[in-house]
Amino acid sequence: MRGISVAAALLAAVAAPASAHHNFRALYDVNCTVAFRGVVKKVEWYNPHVWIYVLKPAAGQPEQWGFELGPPNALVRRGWRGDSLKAGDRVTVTGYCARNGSKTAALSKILLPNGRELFGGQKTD
Amino acid sequence: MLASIENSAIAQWVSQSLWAFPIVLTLHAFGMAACIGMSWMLGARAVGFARAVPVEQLGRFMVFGWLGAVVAAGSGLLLFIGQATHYAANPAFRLKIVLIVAALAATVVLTRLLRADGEARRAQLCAGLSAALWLAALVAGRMVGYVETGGGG
Repeated sequence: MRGISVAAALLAAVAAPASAHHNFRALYDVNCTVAFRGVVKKVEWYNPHVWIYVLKPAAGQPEQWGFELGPPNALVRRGWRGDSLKAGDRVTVTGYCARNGSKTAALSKILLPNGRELFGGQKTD
Repeated sequence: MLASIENSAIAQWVSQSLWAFPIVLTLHAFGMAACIGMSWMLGARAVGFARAVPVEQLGRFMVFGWLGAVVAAGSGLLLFIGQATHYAANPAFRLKIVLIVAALAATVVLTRLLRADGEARRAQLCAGLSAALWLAALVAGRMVGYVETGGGG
């Protein structure tokens, strides 16, 4: 019995960090957020992780920002559909900055043109 | 060429369906476990572990290892075509493929050396090499998701 509970505890310790496909905190800084209103340029509804690209208004050329989301499967369970978002949509995005300083972020939430709010579907721990 | 593979019906199925990807990914893990696990067991026998087990008998189990290799390769191909251009450009992915080819070759040589002359010095060296190559291939494979943030853009 004791052996089983020790084995279960070990299994839980190993399984917990493994449940996040990529170590979220290794790539993104939860203490740094980026938020703006912009226009969707492209949606990549692909496994293993969905990416969306949003143009941020700037002096001169708009800046393109990439936002990483969870896998399609997790997003669908959070109310997303493959066609929830399309190029040209005006949205408000909020995300956690990439640690590598690039114009990428992990999507925290997004406000769709129809007023609906959806979330990024990633485990942040 | 890679882009047209990516746009094929089967690639779209893997990359966009809700369950295909996790199922194929699970098969990939299963194949790896069988192939690398069996390869390491042969290597352990080569360096003198479980001497009571005759080498020819242990070698027969390698059929499960090769079965695992086929499952891992087939599932891996499906995962690859889903985002072919993305993976082909990923340095960790390229390194992983080179390491897998080398590790497979080392494992084939190991099975032959073991059968030919048991625990000879060269079989032991080959066992160490194959174990190290498989470990490196696993690490490189895991790194594929870390070396690049960002899809195409």
